[in-house]
This record gives sequence, C-alpha cells and structure tokens, in this order.
Amino acid sequence: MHHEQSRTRMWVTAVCMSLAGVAIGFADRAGTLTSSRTILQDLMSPGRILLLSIRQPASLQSPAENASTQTVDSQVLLAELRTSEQQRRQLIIENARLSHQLKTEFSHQKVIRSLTGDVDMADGASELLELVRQDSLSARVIRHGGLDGRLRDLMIDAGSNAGITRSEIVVDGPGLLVEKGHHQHVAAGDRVLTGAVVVGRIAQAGRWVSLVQPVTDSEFKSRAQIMRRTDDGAFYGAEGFIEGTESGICRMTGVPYTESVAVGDHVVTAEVDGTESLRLYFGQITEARFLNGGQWEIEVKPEITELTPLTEVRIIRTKIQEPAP
Amino acid sequence: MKSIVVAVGLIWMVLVLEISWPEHLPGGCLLLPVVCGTFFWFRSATGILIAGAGLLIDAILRPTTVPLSAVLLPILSVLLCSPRPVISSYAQLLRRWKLIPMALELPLFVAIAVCVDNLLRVSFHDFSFTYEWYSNRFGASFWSSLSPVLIIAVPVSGLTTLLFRTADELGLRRLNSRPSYF
Repeated sequence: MHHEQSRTRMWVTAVCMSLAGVAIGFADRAGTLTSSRTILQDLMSPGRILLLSIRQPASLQSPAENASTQTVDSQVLLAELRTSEQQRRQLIIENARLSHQLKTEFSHQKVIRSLTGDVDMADGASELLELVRQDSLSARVIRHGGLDGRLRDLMIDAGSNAGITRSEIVVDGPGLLVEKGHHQHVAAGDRVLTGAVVVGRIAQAGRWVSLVQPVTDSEFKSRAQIMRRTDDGAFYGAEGFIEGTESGICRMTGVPYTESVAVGDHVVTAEVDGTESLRLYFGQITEARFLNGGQWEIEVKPEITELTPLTEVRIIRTKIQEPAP
Repeated sequence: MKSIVVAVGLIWMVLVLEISWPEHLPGGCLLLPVVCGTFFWFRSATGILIAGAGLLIDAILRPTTVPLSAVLLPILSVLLCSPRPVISSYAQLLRRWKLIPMALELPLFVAIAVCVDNLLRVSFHDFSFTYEWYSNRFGASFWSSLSPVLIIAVPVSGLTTLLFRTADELGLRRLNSRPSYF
C-alpha cells in the first residue's frame, strides 16, 4: 500500500516536471526566459568567482607544461606588444590631428564670437564638451547564445556591481577603442573613425552578470549614420535608425530618398546631440532600394554576425560630469 | 532534510562547474550522473522534484532545441527506480521483467540520459530520410558529441553506485529509500 502511494506521488511529480520542461521549451522559443536566465546566472556567480580565484597558479604546473605555457605566453605578449605599439603610434597621430582640429575650431569660434558678439553662448558650448565623458569597461564572455548558428544572446561577467546599466553599448575586443585598420589612410582634416565594432547593447544588468542584446536582435534599435570612404577621406552622410531583423542582417530606416546612399557605404554610430562622442562601427551596406514612402530601405551586413569567437568585450559608458558649483 | 540540502548543494556546484569550464567539461558530463544519482538515492517524489528542478535550471541556462532530458528523465526515473514490493521468493524474482544487476542500474540510466540529452544537440538543418544521411552525418555528429560526455559520465556514475552501496552498508540511507536487494 505504501509503495503504491509512493509510486503515485512519484508519477504525479514526474509528469509535473515534464510539463514544466515542455513549458520552458516553449517559453524559450518565445523569448520570455531572458530575465530568469540572468537571475540564474547571477545565482551561479558566487561559485564561478570562487572557481576563478582558485585556478591553478603557474608556479604549481609541471616544468614541461610551464615551459610550453611560457613560450605561448611570450608569443602572445610579443604580439600584444606589437599591437599596442602600433595603436600607440596611431593614437599619437590622431591626437596631434585632433589637437590641430580643436585649435582651428577655437580660432574659428573666436572669429565668429568677435563678429556676432555672442560670447556667453560660445563659453557654454566649450563647457559642454567636458560635460560628457566616455570610458570603457572590460568584461569576459560567460556564454553565448544557446543554439548553433543563432545569434541569440551573450552573457558577460559584469553587472550592476560594476556600474553597468541597461542600454549601454557593448563592443568587441579587449584592446583600445581603435579603428579597424584604416588609420593610415586618413588625411589631415578628415574625421577619423575611432570606434570598435558594436556587438550589441546591455539588455539586462544583473548584480554580477549582464545580458547583451546583439545588433541582429529584432528589438535592437539605435541611431546610426552612413559614412563613405573616398580617396579624400571619410565623409559622413545621412542619419537614421539601425534595427536588427533576426535574420543576421540589420535594416537602416529613416533615411530620406534625397540622401545619397550607395552599396558599400559604412554605417557607424551617430553623434549624440552634436557632442564629440566615440564613433563605433556597425557594418556595411549591402543593399539599398527606394520605398514608396519616400525613404530608403537599406540592408546592413553587421561586422559581427557570430558571437561564438568572442571571449572578451568592452562596454562603453557615457558619464555626464556635473559642473563644479 | 540533510540529504535534501546536500543534493541541492551538489547540483548547484556541478552546474557552476559545467558553466564555468565549458572548454574542459562537456555539457551534462557531471550534471547527468549527479541528477540520476539523486533520482536513485531518494527513490521518491522529493528526489524527482530536486533533480527535475536541476534539469530545468540547466535547460534555462543552456537552452537546446527541445529540453528533452528535462522532459523525459523524470518519467524514466519513475520507471526505473520507483520502490517495489520486496521479493520474497525465487519464483517471484524470475518473474520480474527487469533483471539488471543493481550495480549497473545507475550507469545504464546515466548512459540513456546522456543519449537523450545529446539527441537534439545534433544539427538537423540538412535532415533527410536517406541511409547515407543517417550513417554519415547523423551518426558521426551524434557519436562525436556523445563520446566525450560518456567518457566522464559513466565512470562518475559507477563511483556514485559504489558510494550508494557503501552508504547502505553503513546505514546512512533511510530504509524506505533503499532498493530491494532481494
């Protein structure tokens, strides 16, 4: 009798758990598990942090293992050193160019102020340049989206305890925010693309982990600007909105048909209210056609379509600095 | 209560290990033996609840096409490890449909669980009903994903069986949770 009761209870529980499994399968397809996934990853975080802290130190490895690790390490360090040196030189050049541009801008402003007599407004504008400051924070990728070949979500090990909030832009790579290899061809007076490639934005920030919404997600939307590279440098074109489509391709909307758009143009982040912010790279235009509503329908192939190779990302944070009283 | 706390802690630790070191531990290689071990240790609705919850959490954290293991394993566990009346005679023993040696029950269950778990990890993008597809694509993909998990999961389940038997010998398990050793 006791066995029968126990078996009945077991059957009821098993069927309930199975139904819960089916429900989770459907909920996952509908994309309603995002918040619970972040919460569960947060619950796992204390253990993960503990595991990372007790990883075997290099001194405890065997001599052969140590030697091979050192060789690999030195090679990696050498490559990093070369990259850093290259980046340093590029940044020096860029810095010099920007200083020159700034001086020219100030001299122009002085001329305009002397002509118009609008002294207060110009002073306010120069203060505004210092109001917004951008910095970046490095984060390790915990896990990529679940299904093979589907760019669904990305979990990183930085959360609200590191000051991460929703909607912050996430870019690829562990290094500095530099352009993707076109610095050398920039002529004096050109505006330089100094952004890294946009991976997505923070969809949800937990305490220790955050969920990244990739650029190809159907709910991703951001302001963007078309940029055309010519022999005379880079020229910025029309602004619009870049949206994800779930199919691995992004769509740019809000560009009027009077604007010049061509296949092969690049799409970067737009300036925020005229402030000099970092320009980050989205991708390249692969198709553009007119719509009946007097707009362009533009297809953009994002630079990052697979999240799997990413091991480290950076989060761009925009801080507003309050002026001293 | 103590065993419940230990089981919950163990499942949490195993999940942390598998999520933190995916490059070293293939998915399910430790979780499935621990979950199946939980089914076998409790042999009750509590065990199914704890282990099933572990499988559900795993299905949320590492989504697959269909969370097949979370759906099927609780039902399979009832079929395999629900308590039965004690067999009093040799004739009753012979009539029993299931004559798997006790030591092999858990490793066998783990092997089935691993197969079920890996079934839908195989890519079905180019699915066709041809023998070539089955033998070349499906077979190769299935076995290549299955073997690294089995290499770890089966020995772990064997060790777990040994621990269970030792615990039974030392009287560390409740009498109503113990299997009927004839």
